[in-house]
Amino acid sequence: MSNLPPHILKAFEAVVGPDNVSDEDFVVNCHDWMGLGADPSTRTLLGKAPAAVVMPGSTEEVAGVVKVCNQYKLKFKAHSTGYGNYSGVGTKGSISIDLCRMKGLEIDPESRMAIIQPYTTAGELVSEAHKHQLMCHIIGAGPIHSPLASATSFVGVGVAGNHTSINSRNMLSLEWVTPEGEIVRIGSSGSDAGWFTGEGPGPGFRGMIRGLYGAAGGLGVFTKIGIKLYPWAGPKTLEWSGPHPYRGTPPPENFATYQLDWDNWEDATKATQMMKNSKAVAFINRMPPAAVGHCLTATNREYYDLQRTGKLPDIATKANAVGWSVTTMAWTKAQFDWNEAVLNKILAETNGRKMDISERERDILTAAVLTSHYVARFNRMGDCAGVSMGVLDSINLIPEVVKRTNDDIGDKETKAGGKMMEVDTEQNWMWLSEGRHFWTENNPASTRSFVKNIVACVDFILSSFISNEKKPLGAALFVHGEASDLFGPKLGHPNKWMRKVKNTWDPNNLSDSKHFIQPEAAKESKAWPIAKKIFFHPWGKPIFRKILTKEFGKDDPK
Amino acid sequence: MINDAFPLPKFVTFENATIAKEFLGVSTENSLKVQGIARPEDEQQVQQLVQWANEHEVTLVPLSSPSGNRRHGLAGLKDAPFVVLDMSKMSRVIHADGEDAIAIIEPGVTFPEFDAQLQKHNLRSIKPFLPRASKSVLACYLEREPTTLPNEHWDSTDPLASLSLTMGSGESFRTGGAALYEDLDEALKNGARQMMASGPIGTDYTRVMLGSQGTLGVTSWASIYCQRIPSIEQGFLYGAEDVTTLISIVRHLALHQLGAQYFMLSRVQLAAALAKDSTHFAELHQLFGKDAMPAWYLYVNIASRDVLPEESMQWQLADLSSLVDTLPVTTISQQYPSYLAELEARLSTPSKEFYKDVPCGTHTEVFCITQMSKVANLVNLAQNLLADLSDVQVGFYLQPMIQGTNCHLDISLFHTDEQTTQLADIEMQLVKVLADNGGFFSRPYGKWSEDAFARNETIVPHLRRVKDIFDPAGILSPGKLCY
Amino acid sequence: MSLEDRIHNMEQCNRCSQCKFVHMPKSQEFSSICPSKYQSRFHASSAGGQVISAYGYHNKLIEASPKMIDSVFACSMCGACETMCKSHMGDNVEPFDTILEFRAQLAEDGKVPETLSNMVKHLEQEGAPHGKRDERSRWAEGLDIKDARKETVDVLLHIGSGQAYSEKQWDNLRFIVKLLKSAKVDFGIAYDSESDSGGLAYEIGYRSVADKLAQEWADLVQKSQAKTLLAISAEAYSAFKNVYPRLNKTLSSVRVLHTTEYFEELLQQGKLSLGMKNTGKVAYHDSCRLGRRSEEYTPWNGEYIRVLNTMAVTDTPRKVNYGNDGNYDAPRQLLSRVDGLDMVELERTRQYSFCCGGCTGVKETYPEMADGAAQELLREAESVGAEVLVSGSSCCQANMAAAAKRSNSSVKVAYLFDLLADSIQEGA
Repeated sequence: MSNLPPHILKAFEAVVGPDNVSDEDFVVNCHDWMGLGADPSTRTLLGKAPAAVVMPGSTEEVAGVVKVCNQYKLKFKAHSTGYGNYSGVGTKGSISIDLCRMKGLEIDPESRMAIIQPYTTAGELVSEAHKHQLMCHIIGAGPIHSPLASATSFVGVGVAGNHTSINSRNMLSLEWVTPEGEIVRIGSSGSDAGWFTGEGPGPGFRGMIRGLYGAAGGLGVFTKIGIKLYPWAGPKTLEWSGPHPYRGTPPPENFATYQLDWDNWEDATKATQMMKNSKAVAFINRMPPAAVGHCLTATNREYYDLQRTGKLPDIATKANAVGWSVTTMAWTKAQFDWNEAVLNKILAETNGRKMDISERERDILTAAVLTSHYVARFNRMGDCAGVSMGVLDSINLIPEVVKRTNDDIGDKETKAGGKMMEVDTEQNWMWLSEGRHFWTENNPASTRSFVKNIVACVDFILSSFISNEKKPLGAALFVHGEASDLFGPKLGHPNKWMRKVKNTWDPNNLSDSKHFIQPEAAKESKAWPIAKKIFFHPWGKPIFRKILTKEFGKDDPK
Repeated sequence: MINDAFPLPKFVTFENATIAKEFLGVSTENSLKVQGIARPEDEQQVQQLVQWANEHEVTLVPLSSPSGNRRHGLAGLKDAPFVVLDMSKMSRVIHADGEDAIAIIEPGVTFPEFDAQLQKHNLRSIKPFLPRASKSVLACYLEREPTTLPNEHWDSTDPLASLSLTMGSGESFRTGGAALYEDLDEALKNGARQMMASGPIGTDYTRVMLGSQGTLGVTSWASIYCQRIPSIEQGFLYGAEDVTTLISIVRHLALHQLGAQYFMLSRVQLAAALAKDSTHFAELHQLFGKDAMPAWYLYVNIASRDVLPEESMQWQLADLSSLVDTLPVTTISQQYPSYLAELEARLSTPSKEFYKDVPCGTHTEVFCITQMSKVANLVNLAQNLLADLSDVQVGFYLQPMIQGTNCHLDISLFHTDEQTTQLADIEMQLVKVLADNGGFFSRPYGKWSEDAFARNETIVPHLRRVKDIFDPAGILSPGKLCY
Repeated sequence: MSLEDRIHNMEQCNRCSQCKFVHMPKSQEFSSICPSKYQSRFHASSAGGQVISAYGYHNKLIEASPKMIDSVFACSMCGACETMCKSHMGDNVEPFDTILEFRAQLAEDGKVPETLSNMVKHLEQEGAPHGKRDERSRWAEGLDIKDARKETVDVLLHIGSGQAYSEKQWDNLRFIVKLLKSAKVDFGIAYDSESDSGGLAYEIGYRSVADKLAQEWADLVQKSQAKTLLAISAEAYSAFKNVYPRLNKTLSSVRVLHTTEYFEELLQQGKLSLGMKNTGKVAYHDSCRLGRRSEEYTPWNGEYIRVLNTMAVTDTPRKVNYGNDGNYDAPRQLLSRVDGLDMVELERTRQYSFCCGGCTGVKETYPEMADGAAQELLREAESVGAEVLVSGSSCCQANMAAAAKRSNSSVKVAYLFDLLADSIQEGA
């Protein structure tokens, strides 16, 4: 049991009902579980469990819970589907506001949008949207994530982005419970006009509380949004092929999926510009070959056996080092034929080719891009991802981005004996976005279980941020939390403005996220400009790794 | 006139109130308390000027278009002295990239100037419906004016991407991709194109600035998405008696992602769009009646794709026909090709005079955004409300936005100067009727804002906090919105 | 196997929540896969939550409070979580195996709800969770069935405690006997020497009781010289295939079949035929014990090693269960043979089926949980327009039928053989 005084528990119970509050150890520890790379540590239970888990069933109840938190100066953090530890509270003893009772979903097909609450999953949304010739954006976490959480609070990118954008841009009107417990509707819903736009009257206020990265729970609780949906020319219910978990999606009528390949990224980039400008390809996504291998296999052992015996299909090896998985979508046979002809012409003009893939491989690649289902298999091969840069800039930067990621990782870490997973290409996940620009993140797999691996990941992440500072190739998106103070100065000091926002709307610093700016800059940030020069100099690196090893070693039970 | 006590900035061209009023398009007798006009020529001067204004507690009203009616720019301002911040001298097209379809421009660039530059890169600007030739491109986008390319309108910030800003506090800030490099030339040299609107990190101030009517910050340059010029394009003008028939085509265009430009007009609005002058408008109006032209029109432009363009036209046209052929619509572009040709000429080449002022000399307008499912009802309600108006022609312009998620409803009352005052009441009645029935005034100008903020009082204190953060001394455009 | 042996797997859970949801739902309404999380709502009730609780308990970071014990044992052990977890995580986590070890540890520590521990005591003493040993075969009185303890039989029937002691189910049992006789099958039963399979005791966590019951039955099967072990209860069928290998009990001398499989064989061989039946629209519910939990389990005692610098893999290849090899087709084929039967599929079928919540003592211990899960299934049946919801498990049927009565559902719940009763005929 937590140390929360009974009268406070009673106060929460008065808002949400006694069945919806728990301070039991086994309940609160479930909100303290290490998920992904959010809090690098060798530990799984992180030792910062919330004091209680409270489950409101309505916006009014959320506001009531937040007001109780304000009354007793308790920190709190919203929790939707809870994928990974980004949803965990930042501080031991906070209140985890679990929004699982709020799962409203309403499709408005005529306006190509839906109205959703926090516990509506992307899988649910897309399945309902398909019934109306629509689909939603699904981020890499897959169908089990909360689109509301991704739209309001956290990044929001996904492999289908060329057709379905980014969830922060897909968000329309929104409902927000401020850190002080006031219910505010932003955009058209604020005037009871519906949920179709988030801007106005006047300035786009939501830009204050939802930036590129999102406040990740550091600025109150979001309870309902309008979200934009996208055209879907496929069937009302997605067809699946193959046995679980090798299930794939056969491309529906007038759809086609290919794995395309080029000799070099220069040719591939030329082709990418052509594909983008022709609009013949709806989904353009690149999983690094090792990730393709994990999508196609059910277990790590299966992947390993194929890898060591040289039996991995070509698309899961360096034979597919330079290429895209593409899926075309058409409403008519004539459009489908044109898509095919365009693709063939582009390949012919850019020395590209379609790789031979089996039906099963094709179906799994299709499922991966249409539902993001198998993107999460990335976590099967390594639970401590290093994530570096996101771009959203010119496609012409792709060759340089690939080179940069190779430079950042060095020539040892992903080779045999290195501290990250042994692979034969860089680990760039890339996709086109909005038919305009492209996104990339470099995700070399590693493991959280050993200090040396975490150290290598942290070193890699910071090194890539620093190299992107020297010559930016798009935004280093995963700069967030306290790192905002380290890397903000070179970006025109957004950290300064974010801090003003944090302190204005959360004056008591109760909205508890370590992934948003803190009310005051950490002392270390002042020393960072010098520390950076020392620790990321070739001579200083070993010292930096030693310090990190000592720091992470404190957590290491081994 | 500049008072002797008025502090003059030394670092920027500064001219007196008479010249300022000329710039504003008002007579010298006009009661506006304009103290002068400052004309910065670069970003540094803008910043110095804003800092100077903070220091001397001078109110600035930033305006970007080099000339023309400042209807929205001056609407709602407090009855207090101010200095015009004329951004029109900053009128460079800094960069354009045909492959990435993006350009960087300063606030004074107008559509004709912009298009002239873009053409060299096989690009053209994404325009709102018939802007006047002297309209600032950036001002249009900063005001979230709807454009006529709904399928390219992914989010309400489009087609704007990054901004280089001077906040009301005098501090500078760059949004989105523009934040990555301090030196724009270096950024461009390195291949960076400032394509991202949001960011950096936890900020999205492009979004905040849009719709703020110059109350929070001043933009010195911005990156703008453009349209690649298709090698083939074909326009269609369809007519129907019932607007819902055309709305069903619009839904198809949005769902199948067909067409480049598309929008709907009422018969009067079409006449206004085509009219060369008031006489021509009257003739067209009469002619449309005589020819029993339909009540509603949909313009759609089918544009070829970059690869296999002829073939891309074939399937797009076939897809469009598969729906249109089943509906009670008239292909006006076939019956009266000259109307289509004239409309397209006007769409591509802005006129000197704003088209709404052509029919009768001036106009009263009310516009809001709503959903495709609600817009026909709003049109109906507006028609009922305005049915008894005599000597005033009423036109409707319906612009699908954000890929069909929203629809801009624009109602114009074409009238003479003398009628302006008597229409003030009906204007506000119209605002109320629309807002009561699902119309949202996301861009509330002048007195509309009272109604708009009365309907969402909870947002007001939060918007005031925004003002306190970006413009703590309140020197930018006081009186507008809820400030 | 112990909780200690599961640490690697527990630490692999990245709390993705796939264990709560169908692999790819067809609608929002029926997207849940975990009956206990669906109802309690706390993450702790999900498989991921139980893994965390188990980890915390093992590491003495979490006390076994009464509420935690309730949360653990309100789970019907349907195994859906494990099947779903494997959508992404392969055999990295296998939460079901951790939950089994967690329960075993709690049982060892005396932390089991009284209702369940009493059931296990009864199992130990009487061979059944309810009822007396000398009443086990009352249902067979006057049927003149061969006594497999005394005579050799081709087919040995295992009745299961649920049906043996429930007079309501006796007609079904007698019907099955009638069919076997019609098809001239040489079969027998073990009368009062039949015990519960041991599956229930194993799942509650009492390994030694489970071991004893399983050994007794395995010995009896061996002695009977039967070639086929015919399980009437889905729970026993699941135990023979999925639990016995975990207990190192072998039934290798016999084919283990469920009645649905066996009668489908008889129909294929022309020893029986099906006639006409007008029942209205019928939906078949894949009972978890007949479905994903009946997949043959293959023990593996290897270790995890690091390869490719960082990736954990099993040191030797192992067979991983994905829920694909459950008994899904035979019941459907049986139903499809009935003329005039209008079949419709539920949204969640086969390995993605939603459990009715009645098993593993949940119905007895947490009746509201069992009712809630069953009500969800009735709604699912209604949503696809089914008038009859058919189950191949009498336990599921009883739970769902009671729920239908409580909620006045328009859906009738039927046991598969009850539905077939007046349709099935002798000979081809």
